[in-house]
This record gives sequence, C-alpha cells and structure tokens, in this order.
Amino acid sequence: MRALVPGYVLHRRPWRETSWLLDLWSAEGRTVAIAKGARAPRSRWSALLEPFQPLLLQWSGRGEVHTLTEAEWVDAAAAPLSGRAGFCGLYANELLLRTLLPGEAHTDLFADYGDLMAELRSLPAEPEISALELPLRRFELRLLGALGYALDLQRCSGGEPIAPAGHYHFVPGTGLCRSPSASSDAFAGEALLALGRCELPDLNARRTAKQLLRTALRPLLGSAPLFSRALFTAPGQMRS
Amino acid sequence: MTDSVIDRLMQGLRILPGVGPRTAQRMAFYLLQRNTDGARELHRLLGDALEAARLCARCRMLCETELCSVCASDRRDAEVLCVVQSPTDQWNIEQLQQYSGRYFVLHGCLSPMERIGPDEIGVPLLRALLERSPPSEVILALSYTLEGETTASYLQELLSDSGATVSRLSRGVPQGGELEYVDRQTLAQALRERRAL
Repeated sequence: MRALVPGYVLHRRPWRETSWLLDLWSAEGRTVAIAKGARAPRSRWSALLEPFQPLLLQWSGRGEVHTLTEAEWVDAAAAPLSGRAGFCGLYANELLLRTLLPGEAHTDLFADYGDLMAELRSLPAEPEISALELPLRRFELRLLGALGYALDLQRCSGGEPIAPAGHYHFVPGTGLCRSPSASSDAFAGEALLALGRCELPDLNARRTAKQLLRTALRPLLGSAPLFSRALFTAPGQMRS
Repeated sequence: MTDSVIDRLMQGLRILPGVGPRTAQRMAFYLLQRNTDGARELHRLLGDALEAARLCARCRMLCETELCSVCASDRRDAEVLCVVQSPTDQWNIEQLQQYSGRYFVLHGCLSPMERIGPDEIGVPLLRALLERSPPSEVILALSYTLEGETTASYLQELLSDSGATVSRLSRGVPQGGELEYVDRQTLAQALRERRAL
C-alpha cells in the first residue's frame, strides 16, 4: 500500500452509476483513478473530489486505471475557486491534461501548480483580467520549461542578446529571431525582457506575453482549440 | 447465446440508467411472460411520447406543445426567471409549489474539458429571451460543483449589465443533517454565510 501523497483532481467525469473517473495530478505526474461510490448521495468524498482543492490522495492497482483508496483534506478546506479565478484554474487544468501523459513525473511543475492555485485563491472576488494574466503566463512558461521547450527570453536564436529597442519574431522550434522592421505582428524587445523577469508592466507587455506563449504552446496542444479559452471571450454583457 | 430478439431486447433495456445485464434479463422475461398487456401498453406509450415530446420554444423544458404549461400560463410571474440544469431540477422545484416565476432549462453545465460550451447549453436562446422580456430577478438554481460554479460565473457575467438582480440558491447544513457528518467545505460555507436570527 502506498502512502498518501499531496495531489489535485484535474478533471472528473461520471463513471457508471455512482463513481467518478478521475484525472489526478501529483508530484508523480498524472494518474487516472476511479473513486468507487463517490457519486452516491451520502458519499464522504462528494465534496472532497473537486478540482483545485489541495488533497492527500492514495490509490492502488496496476495498469492504466487505478482505484482511489483514500482522500483527505490537506488542512482546513480551501474556499473553492469561483468566477474568473475558476476560469483560470480550468485553463491550467486543460493545459495539463492536453500536454502531459500519465506517469511522467514533474515535481517542479507540480509545485508551480500549487503556487498558481494559492495565488488564484488569494485574488479579490471579481479580479480584473490583468491581475490574472501574470500568474497564468508564469505557469505557461514553467510548463514549457518542464516539457523541454523552455523559452529563452534573453537571447535570440543566433545568440545575440535581446535589445530593448529591437523587434522579434518567434519561430517554434527555433526561438526568437530579429525582425527587420517593427511590423504589427513582431514582439518588442522591451516586452520580451519584461516577461523574462516575470513582469507585465503595461498592455503591450501583456499582449506580447499572451501572443508569444500562445504561439509557443500551439505545437504541444495539437490542432484542437483550448475550450476553456471560450469562457474568457466574455459573454458580451447584456444591455438593458 | 444467439442474437435472438430476446437477447436484443435485453441489450436494449440496458440503455436505462442503473440497469445491468441481470436486471435487463429480469425485465425482459417479465415483459414477455408475465405482463404482455403491460408490455404492449409500454410500447405504445414510448412511441407516443417519442413522437410528441419536444422542448418548449421559450424555456427548453420537455413538453408536447409549442410552449410548456408554465410558459403558456398567464398566472406565472414573468418578472422572475429561474435557470436550472435539467428538466428533473425544474420538476423538483415545481413540486415545492413555492415558486411562481418562469424557468429556463440549460440541459447541462459548462464543461470545457467535456467540450460543452455556451452554445451547447442554450445561451443564445437565453440571451434572446432576456432581451425580449427582461426579468427583474434571475435565480441561478445550479449545482455546487465545479461545472455549476463555472456556469453560474459565466451567466453572472452575462447578466451583469442587464439590470436584473442575480441570485444563487443558498447552501448549508441539510435538513436532518447532524453537524458531525457535514463535510468541511459545507460547514465552512455555512459558518461564513450564517444568518442573524
């Protein structure tokens, strides 16, 4: 029997009548496990096995699908993520589900994920989109690093340092390349250097970071779009 | 076993929730041996229901007319709209005989991982409804799960400028629930949102 390990539920879907099929995420990587009877009305696990909740987990079995044997709160129950913070959490979970294979251990990334959850939880009730971007961009950078696609934001592909006044293109697989002119789709050197320091001082820096990371993540995600992004393209508020 | 009509019936019955091979076998033999009249009646009813059932053009509740009985009634309060996940939830709230407003049935909740987006839960129709007859209050009667939470946040944002009061069902210690057995999350929530007496 294994010990209880810190972990999260990334996603859950109904399994048979009363169980959940869980995608778990711990320092050991992703694990698929079934929580038997957890959907039954009086299950002690029903409130526990929700995404974003830091948990202690134990599972057993061999093969691809394991059986969850124990689940506990880490400490006091953390308030669930709601609103935009919840959308961000879903986005992070979808990124992990789309890029990681079960069984690959990512100790550092797991710690980064814990930091992201704590950060999202500490935001005020209705955070501005700009307050959400830095934690997300940082997590995306760490994810790329963990998967062996770390972005070098100090130098371009030729080795020469990024100049604050320069303009650059990003070529997946190669890196940043100097752009002859300041065309509309080129990234400003200043914004790239800021992202390297994990800073997003202004709108241009935020746009650059978003576009750059979207381009860098695309080869890892395949052709299907990320569905949680649709939640952010705001519903377009109703006017009375 | 051969692929006889009886086998196929047993297979067919297994589409019902909670029906495994053993129950399907019992049902099939019961219908074919003990209660053939009942089986014929069931066959007719199922055919009729499938033929007639459709979604209400206004609220998406299952019904057999253009508008469901709630939407067609002039005794319902058009100022209040209750958004529910499923026809079952609408039915359960209706049974309370406490609510006199109208409904909108989403038939699901937002779940990006399952690729269920705003279009799948009828958001375009809901928007059209809100524009046509803006209610003064919208009650989000959604589950306290991640999907319910996501859907509530999304709809809250959609409604933020509509002028309507948006509320959500409150949560806490269930009737007959002993505190000892209430999960931590619910207990913490109930304490945070306690009520003055």
